[in-house]
Amino acid sequence: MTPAPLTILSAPHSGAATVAAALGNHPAAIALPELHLMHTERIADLLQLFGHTSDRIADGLLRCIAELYCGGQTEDGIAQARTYLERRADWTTAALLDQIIESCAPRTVILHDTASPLRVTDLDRCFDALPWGAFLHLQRHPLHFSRDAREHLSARLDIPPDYKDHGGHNPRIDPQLMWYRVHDTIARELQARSAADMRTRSLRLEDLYATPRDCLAALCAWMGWHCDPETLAVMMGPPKGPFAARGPQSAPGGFEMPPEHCRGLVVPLSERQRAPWSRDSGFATEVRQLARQLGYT
Amino acid sequence: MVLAPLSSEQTEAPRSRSKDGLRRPDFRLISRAGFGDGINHYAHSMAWFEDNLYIGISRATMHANKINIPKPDLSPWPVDCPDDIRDVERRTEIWRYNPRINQWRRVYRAPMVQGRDGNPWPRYISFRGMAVFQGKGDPKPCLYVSSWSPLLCDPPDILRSEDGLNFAPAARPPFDASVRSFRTLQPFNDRIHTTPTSSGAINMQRMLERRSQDSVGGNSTIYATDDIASGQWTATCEEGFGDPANLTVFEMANFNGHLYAGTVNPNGMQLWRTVDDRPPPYRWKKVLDCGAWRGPANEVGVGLCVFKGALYVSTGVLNGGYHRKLRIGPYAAELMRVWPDDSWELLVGQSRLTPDGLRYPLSGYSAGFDNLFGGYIWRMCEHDGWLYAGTFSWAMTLPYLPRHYWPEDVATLIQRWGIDKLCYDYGGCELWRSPDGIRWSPVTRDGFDNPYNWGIRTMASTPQGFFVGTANPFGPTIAQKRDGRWRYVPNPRGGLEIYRAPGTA
Repeated sequence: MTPAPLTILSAPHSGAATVAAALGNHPAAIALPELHLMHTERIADLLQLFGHTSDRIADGLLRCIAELYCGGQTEDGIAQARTYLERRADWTTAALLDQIIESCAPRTVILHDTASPLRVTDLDRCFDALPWGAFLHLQRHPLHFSRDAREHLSARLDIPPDYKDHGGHNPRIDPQLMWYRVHDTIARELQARSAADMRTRSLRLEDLYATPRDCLAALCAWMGWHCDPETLAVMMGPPKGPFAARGPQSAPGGFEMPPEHCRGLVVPLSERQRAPWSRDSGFATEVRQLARQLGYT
Repeated sequence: MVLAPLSSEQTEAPRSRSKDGLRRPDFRLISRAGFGDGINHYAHSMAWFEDNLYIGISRATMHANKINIPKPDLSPWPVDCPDDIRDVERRTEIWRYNPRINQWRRVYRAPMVQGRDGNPWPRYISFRGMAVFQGKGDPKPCLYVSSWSPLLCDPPDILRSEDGLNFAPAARPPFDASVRSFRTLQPFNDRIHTTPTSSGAINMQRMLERRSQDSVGGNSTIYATDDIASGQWTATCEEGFGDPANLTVFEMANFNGHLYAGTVNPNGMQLWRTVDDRPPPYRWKKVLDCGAWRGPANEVGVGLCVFKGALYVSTGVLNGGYHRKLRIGPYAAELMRVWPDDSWELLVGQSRLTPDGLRYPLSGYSAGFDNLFGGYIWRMCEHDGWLYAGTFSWAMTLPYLPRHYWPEDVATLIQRWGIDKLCYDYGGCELWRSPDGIRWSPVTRDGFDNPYNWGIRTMASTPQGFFVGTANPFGPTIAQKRDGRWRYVPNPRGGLEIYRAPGTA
């Protein structure tokens, strides 16, 4: 029997790959790269989208297809994966996801998705494709998110408009808008879905850093996995599995983690400081209110 | 003139599929190539009147743009135009579609008249607005059609028809002689409302160039009458609602017992509504300001549509996304909705911090439905419990635009994608559907498989189905580069198109 997959929904720069890697280290699970499958209904449209975007959003899916169906993550495997997708252009993306999950059985597939929460129709597609799945809302403090987003954007020439405040004449970088948009959307949609008996749960990344064993044990229990100290040690160790390392040159991405997490689930130095809620943080009222709702008091 | 059907389609209203909304295969082309005349460019107005569909046309839009000041910077000109605009047949038309027998019939053609220069001119070159309205003096609801007149003719008229076959000018509204057209005709509280626009002047010495803007008038006032035939029009608001930056009142809608009006404003559109039921002049309240705090990027309140308890407001920038005279843009358009308590939500557009609070696009789509070329979200219409929104795309002008002075990053991006690919993928307008204003899915993203359909200009939800009329100025010829040389070739897909889909109003 194919076990129900777990999808981690979060914003970029919020540790989704890190949490996926930790869960994927469990012997009952396998963590896949970020697939970006749910942006369209059909593979044909997805391939067209991949062709238009300047980001390497196809890497994760190509690596996954290469690993599962095309002899492995080599340059030749990636080339075959492209052909594999082109030949299934008339498939729905949901059908392909089903097949991938079946192929990974009996292991539980761990998916992480930081793009679908940006668009309600993509999120709907996620939920509709996996009505039997479990969904984890991974949260992060807006201050930590904003700091990492700014650092990431400082190295880019083209700043995605989602990270800007477009009020007035000159849009300026302000990551809190992205943070609010993603978490408000996920919280609202999960709330609506949890009323329909969908399995949902939330996790603050800061809690995982503070008490990793407790948090991972709770997630294991939620997923119905066995959990003992040895297993927890493995989960907190360096990422394993076929997608832990970078992919070949033609598709290297799909599993982006902070470099220190290649050594395991360690708390980055910058996360150890307390967020300054008591001072004027510069965040909008809505951001402060939502952060408090998420438990950042 | 009567046209034979394009296909042997069923003449009864097809079965409704309200659960899923309409998809591309549901739409059938029922008229192509400007009713067989590729110079019929825009299906500019549409109305359902006594079991027939009526289309008011704008002719030779691309030809007229060539003599505009400032002239669009296109080279070569996309369609073959004579040097003298008088050599273009511009008498505009009204067409009627009988869905029961699937038959089109031209029911009106503008006459030629003597202009102020003594030469013959078409009396009307466009019919921009239509409404079914019963004034005090009307024995029954009549079809009223607002017109657009050439600069050397008398000011425009509002045509009236009792039977949909015979049209005659009603008493002309007492507008300034520089007024060239009206925008919408909006019934509200037993009166009909309109706004003058397209004021301008003409330079006789320089090839009749027009110093006018199609969507900007010299009088930004809403006028009302309870009897169009009387010619007695009353101003319902202060000019520009007291703000000289409100250049024109662009669109109106009747929502929640109030009349709403969206403006053209280079600082960002404003949305106003009436406060109470008292007769004109009304008391008004400003609902949105500064383009919903996006500024000039939302220069115009382009479309208004009531859907499931909210007023949907779409925006744009004049001239299709780049206001040439004021050099605003290019920007893609937004969509928002206003609730009866005057609160508003952003549905499609760009996140921002505003004096009203943080707003992000609830649908997740950025401006133009993620399409840089989406200069307007032009028209919206409810049909069978779904909201449909149609866009304008300027992508098809890319082959003719001078790219040498574009910003380097934009030019690089365009170069990487390739002009042909951009035209193929983004060249046509888009039509989107939504059951709730938040969840949007595309019906078409390529102008119904025709990149020359650059806009969805009209829609109508009727007992005989859902109708969509396009703006398509790329006919009857198109400039194409072959073997390194530009030449004009016939364009069988140039000229407005009309589509029909199932369902009932």
